[in-house]
Amino acid sequence: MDLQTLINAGLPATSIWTDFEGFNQYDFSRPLTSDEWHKFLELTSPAKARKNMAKSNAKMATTIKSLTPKQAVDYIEKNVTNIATAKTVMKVMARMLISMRDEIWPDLPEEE
Amino acid sequence: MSGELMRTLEAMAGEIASHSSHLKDLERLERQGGLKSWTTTVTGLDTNQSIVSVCRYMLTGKHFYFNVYISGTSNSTAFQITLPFTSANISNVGWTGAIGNIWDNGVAQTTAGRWVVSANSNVLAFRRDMVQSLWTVGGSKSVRAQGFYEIA
Repeated sequence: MDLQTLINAGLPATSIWTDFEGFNQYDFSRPLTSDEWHKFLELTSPAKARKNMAKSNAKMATTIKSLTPKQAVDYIEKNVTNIATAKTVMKVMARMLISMRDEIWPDLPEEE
Repeated sequence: MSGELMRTLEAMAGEIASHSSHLKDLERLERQGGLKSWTTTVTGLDTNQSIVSVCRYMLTGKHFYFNVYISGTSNSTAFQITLPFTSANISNVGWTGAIGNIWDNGVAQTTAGRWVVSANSNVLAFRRDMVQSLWTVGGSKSVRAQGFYEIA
């Protein structure tokens, strides 16, 4: 990642330097907003960007995010009655599953 | 006459040397007696906003013991401060330890981070975890850390 790429992305980056342990460090002219921070992570580390958004993505699975185990079973019983309704419930579950993957193993998509 | 003068001068020189040695001992004892503060330069915090830095140390022989609190608003993925004494230049040696308390982006961290001083360096760096997770650029960040290293 070079400085110009960050600047072109609209980020107020001022310098990139390598510290004494060999880690790249990035300086900015001001603190970043949360959207800018996410954009920076997407450019420098997609895995960290996924982890950064994992919890907020999980919150979007509104129908199941706060259920107890018993309520989850009741929810399935009540809402899964045919293929179409099963598909709807599976979409909600998939969103939660992917969010959990991003929280636990954010680098999984890049692995062989 | 000149021989007597030389003997007098030699005696005076010996006495001065002896006092010099005592002064060094007194200086060393004084250093052992209490904590001092140093003014540090911080990297990783927005200088347009409030920065709090409390840096205390005690020097015992060549061991530099520090106790620091640094806090402000992050404008960098880095977080480090300058030290008043350069560390010893010893091959394959560095100094590191766990940080007592870490806040990143306004949130107290539940996992440990570390401080690190490399050989022949006057920089004390703070890592957000025990490897190298970048500090969030934005929000408040702070550390409370204690440790020691060997000075040059």
